[in-house]
Amino acid sequence: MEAFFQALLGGLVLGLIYIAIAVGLTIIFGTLRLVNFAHGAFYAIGAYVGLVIAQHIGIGWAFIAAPVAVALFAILLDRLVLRSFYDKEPTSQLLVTFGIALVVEESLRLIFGATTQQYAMPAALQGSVTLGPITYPAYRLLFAGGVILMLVLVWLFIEKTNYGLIVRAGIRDRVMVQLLGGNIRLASSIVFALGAAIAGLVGAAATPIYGIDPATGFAFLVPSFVVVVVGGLGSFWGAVLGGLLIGELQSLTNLAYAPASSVIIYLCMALVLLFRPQGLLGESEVIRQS
Amino acid sequence: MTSTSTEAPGVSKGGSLLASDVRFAVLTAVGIALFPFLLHPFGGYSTLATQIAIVSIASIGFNLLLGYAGTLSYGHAMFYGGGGYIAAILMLRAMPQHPNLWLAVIGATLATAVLAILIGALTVRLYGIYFALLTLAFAQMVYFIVEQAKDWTNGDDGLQSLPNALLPLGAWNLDLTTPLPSLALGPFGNLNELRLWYVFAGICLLLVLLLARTLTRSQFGEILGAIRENEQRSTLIGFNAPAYRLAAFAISGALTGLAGALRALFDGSVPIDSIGIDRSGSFVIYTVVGGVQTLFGPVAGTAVIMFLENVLSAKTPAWRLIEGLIFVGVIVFLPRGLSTVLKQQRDKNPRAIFVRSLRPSNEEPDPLLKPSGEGRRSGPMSIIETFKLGKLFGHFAAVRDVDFRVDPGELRAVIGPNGAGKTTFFNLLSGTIAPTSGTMNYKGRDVSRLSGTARVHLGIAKAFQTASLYPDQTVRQNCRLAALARVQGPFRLQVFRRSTRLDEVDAIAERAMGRLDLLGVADVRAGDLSHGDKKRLDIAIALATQPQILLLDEPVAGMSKDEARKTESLIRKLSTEMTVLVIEHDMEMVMGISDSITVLHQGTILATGTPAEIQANPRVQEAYLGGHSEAELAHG
Amino acid sequence: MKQTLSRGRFVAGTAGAAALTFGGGPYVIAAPTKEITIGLNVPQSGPYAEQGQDQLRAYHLAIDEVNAKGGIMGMKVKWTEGDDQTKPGVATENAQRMIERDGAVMITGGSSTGTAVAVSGLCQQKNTIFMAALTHGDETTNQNCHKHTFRRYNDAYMSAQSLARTLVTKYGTGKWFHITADYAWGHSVYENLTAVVEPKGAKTIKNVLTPFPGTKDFSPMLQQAQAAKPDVLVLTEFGADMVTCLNQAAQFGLTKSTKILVPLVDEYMAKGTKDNFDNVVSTAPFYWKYHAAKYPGAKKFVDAFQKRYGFPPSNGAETAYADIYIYKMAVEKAGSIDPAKVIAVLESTKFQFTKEQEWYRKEDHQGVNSCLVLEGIPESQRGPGGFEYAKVLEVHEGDKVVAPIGSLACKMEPA
Repeated sequence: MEAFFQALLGGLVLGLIYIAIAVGLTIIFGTLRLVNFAHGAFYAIGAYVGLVIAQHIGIGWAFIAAPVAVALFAILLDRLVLRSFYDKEPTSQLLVTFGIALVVEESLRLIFGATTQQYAMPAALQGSVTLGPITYPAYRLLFAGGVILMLVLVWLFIEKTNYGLIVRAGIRDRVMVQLLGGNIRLASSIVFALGAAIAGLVGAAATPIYGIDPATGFAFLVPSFVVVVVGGLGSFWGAVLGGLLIGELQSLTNLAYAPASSVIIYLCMALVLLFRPQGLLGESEVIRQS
Repeated sequence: MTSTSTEAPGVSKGGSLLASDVRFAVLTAVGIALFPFLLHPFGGYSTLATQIAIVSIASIGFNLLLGYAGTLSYGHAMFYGGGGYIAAILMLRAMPQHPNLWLAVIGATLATAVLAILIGALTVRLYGIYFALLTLAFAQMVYFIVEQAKDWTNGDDGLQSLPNALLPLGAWNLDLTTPLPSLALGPFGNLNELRLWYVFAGICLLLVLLLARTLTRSQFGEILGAIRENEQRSTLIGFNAPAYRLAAFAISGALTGLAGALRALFDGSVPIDSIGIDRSGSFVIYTVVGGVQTLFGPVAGTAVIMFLENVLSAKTPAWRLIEGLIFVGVIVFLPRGLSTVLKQQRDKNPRAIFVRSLRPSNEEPDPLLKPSGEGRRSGPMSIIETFKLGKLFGHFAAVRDVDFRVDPGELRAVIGPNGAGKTTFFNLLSGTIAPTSGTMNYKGRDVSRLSGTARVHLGIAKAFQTASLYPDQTVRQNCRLAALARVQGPFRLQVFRRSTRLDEVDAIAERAMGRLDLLGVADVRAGDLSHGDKKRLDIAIALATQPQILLLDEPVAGMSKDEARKTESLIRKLSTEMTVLVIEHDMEMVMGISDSITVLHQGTILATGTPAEIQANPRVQEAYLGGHSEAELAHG
Repeated sequence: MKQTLSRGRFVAGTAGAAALTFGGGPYVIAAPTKEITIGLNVPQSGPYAEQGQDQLRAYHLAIDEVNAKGGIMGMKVKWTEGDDQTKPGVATENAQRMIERDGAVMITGGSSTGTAVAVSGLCQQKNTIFMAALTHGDETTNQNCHKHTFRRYNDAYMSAQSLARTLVTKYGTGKWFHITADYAWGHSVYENLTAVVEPKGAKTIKNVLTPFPGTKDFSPMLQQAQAAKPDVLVLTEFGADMVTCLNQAAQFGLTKSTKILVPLVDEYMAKGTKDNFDNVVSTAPFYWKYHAAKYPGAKKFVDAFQKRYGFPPSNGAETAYADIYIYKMAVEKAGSIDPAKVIAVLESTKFQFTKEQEWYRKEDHQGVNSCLVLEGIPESQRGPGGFEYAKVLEVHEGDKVVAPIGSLACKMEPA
């Protein structure tokens, strides 16, 4: 029983990590209709920037430098390459972002080497916390709390700001976004940079837990994509629900039969795509009246 | 799948084996024969040449799906690795004493075809990223099963040391590992570096290239291309798009499985990574780099990338970065791949390379092409009759409780203010969307559950508010496609014959163009037409399906006055031969041509009557003028 | 790079020998040349990249040393490299390329049992010697043994025997919890360990398999271990996976509450886990500090390695280094690079380079040499660079811990 509760808690934390990456993916898709396979690369760049800063300056600065650097990289990428793909077929977007992910991964491999690297978390957070029968690493709990805080901020951004209006409108009605005209360029850049910055921050913050190697970005991208699809592409709460579901499913499968833990999320995604292709909380296509 | 009773006339233009086919076969054979020697000075070697030939077969199969059907699979390793494992298991279990290469290869290819049909049946309704992720999910499940079935597959270690298969050929029993005779060729190496395997793999590649060439030029390839370019239109001229994509998926999977089997037998082993996610990704890279929608693109891409991997990887650790940069460069600058550098870019407008639809299809599952049972009996005269027809979007009732009836030969206008539900109502009639309540009868038969495709074949055709065309095809070809659907039925796996041999199709298309006054622009690319011609072409396409009832959604919207009057008279002429339903805001036209008018308001019928009755109806005036300006009325 | 005649199928041959065709193989030994090529096939990416790179350093060192002293039987040694990415399919493709295009007469490398087994099968087919370097799973020389494959590195059976002999008095009884990489090597280690400790009273609570490769988060497995409160936690992971796993175990407090066993370790894994490796018990076939102090051959190797690269070699590097010298010895003694003759020498010769006198068993081609049981020490005591990572608890002689020949499933091909 104790193991079961431990697994539940572990699934929650794992789910929050997926959500943290997935939320950027989903708002970028919702606003720009861009299927971004390079999102894992943002995570990896954030992690490596964090690594370098943490080793040379300090871990606090790492958490600031990583999202900023990734946001700048994302804006550059957006202007140079992706902009011309906004209106193309999703398959083209998939291919070009897949290619960018490949280039980033290989560049990181040449710069930093193929080995897993890690930087230590602050000494105060290295221990574990005991909550009733459950002992859990302090850093992971703090990380989970940070993700929740960040989700609240993102939610406020979407619901309460003018830029958020564009995100909301984009998710619900593409045409309305286009009618907003001039603002859209700036707004889409901001949303893209924000989504990327979140992934970069998560990369920096998660590296003390998981370490980083050039392939880690892709390793987290795939489950995050699963989360977004299960929850509903473009839906904020869908990403949250999908993340919790996938995290728990994976954690509980590990308890039952660990080798199946990697395949269970694909099974889950396949079932969702077959029976509710728009995702659990996805809106089916809005048909405009004439 | 059934086809229509109309058989294609057996008229063939030219012989079955054209001179150009022979020339193609010979030139390709020469190319394949020279390939290993051309590779030699650059550090290639015979095994690499054989592996490239084999893997190219998989890439060609992959391109049939990505390039011609327009959908990206991220799970083709399940067929490649699957073919390899099946061939290996057949060798080890079924014929350990007398390994027969034919049996292993054919068995594996058939088995992967079955696997592809099963998985395709579940996946082909999705597009874009959804299709890619669903195929990835299935591939990961297949990987898991292979990894777990250790007794059969040896788990992570893969199957090793396969017996050397012999190739029974008439009186001979060929050992493919036999080297060719010695013949020094200077800088190009020596003939005896090659083993018989290369000859066999090369012949397989040649046959697959011939098959792919025939297939993509056949009627099947033509229809697949049409579906890729405009699925909405293709469905509503009567092609069963999922069935065509399933066929493409099955052929693609089988070819990939064939390659996997050949590779396993050539290598003498099957590693677990042959079925992994990176393998799936490699086919994407090979095909995109070489060139989607080209015959030799996948072969060229496979050769270039495999060569880089094998030769460059020993020289620089940056080889994968180089590979990635090539890949991105090709997508950004050469969307149709490296092979388009060699020949002139025929196409100035490389827009729709892949399927455009993003959302998964939200149509109801396609029922069999049988009516789900008799609906309520209606008057003998009606052609279309609806009972309490309704459509909810979430909580919004776009159409509710509509009882509607049209008699044969009638020209009925459907009018109403913006948001009245007119287009939704047409979509319900044409079968593009399924009703949430009520039923619809067509000639007394309940067709409520039938797909749009099935309804086209019963005689219901539609022209869209925004013309839905094949912009990269000529006007003639646009009409031919619709005629082809009429003649050949919703699905026919005609992979060997071209549709150009069907005179009946040409005749129907010609008539349709003539009726809409489009013969003068018959050979113009549809995307280059004027707005008015585009709208009329859309009607001509609908007409080429030989409908009994024609649904026209705002046929003159956006046209100049002259064009509108011209189109109006063409519609009037059409209405003498068939029933016509027309949504229109142009009141002059509505009042001028309609036999009767139905007014929709807030999803329900407000009134039905003759033009004079409608004009006099106070409720109609109220609905139209209540809060709406004349300007709004003019534009839908 | 200058391309010579030896490209393609024409492979460098024995000095002064006439052209001859090897039985079964497609190779033709052409006129005498003064070069031979060796294929170095190691992971340079993926979880075992660090191990692969260190092996590569040792190969380069050994080959340069050999060439400086006149090469192998007067022939200059060239090498060709490949990144096997720890994937069997890629490893086989690399080896194929090395043999056919580059004319490699011997393939060496490893870091995973999966790749070793795959390459072994290919080399058998291609009539090419395979000196498997860092591969620890039993099957390389047991279930999947081949005539052309020689493995000097300790196998899982030897590690398990050694661990059990040293530890059974300390940890033999009590509850054991296993976290095991789900592939050939992991299974092999798990089976060997349980087979020796269970009869002595250890109780296996659970064995959780982790997907390989690609597991980044071990927390679900570690949580189960935490809940089970075992006396001994066995982490059968290697390379970067072991580093991640042990570091995450420490986050769960497991390094403090449980005795941790890592069946096989090397310098890089110990470095990566820092203080979390303190008190962890493991095995290794070679430890530079211990062997350099004891054997002149080892000292010479460690000093040369240190001089060239600035840090000491890992145990994988040592086996890579020795493999080159063993191959040289065998060719020179055979007077030929003919695989059949080289195999005959390797099967029957005792030799000594960096460890005690050692040999390969004729029956399975497993190297018989000692196995060290080590215990990790805190980072503060490890000296500069952190390469001095453990103290030696006990050294077990190879022939005492190697699997008895009668128990083998190996069916060696006839000569």
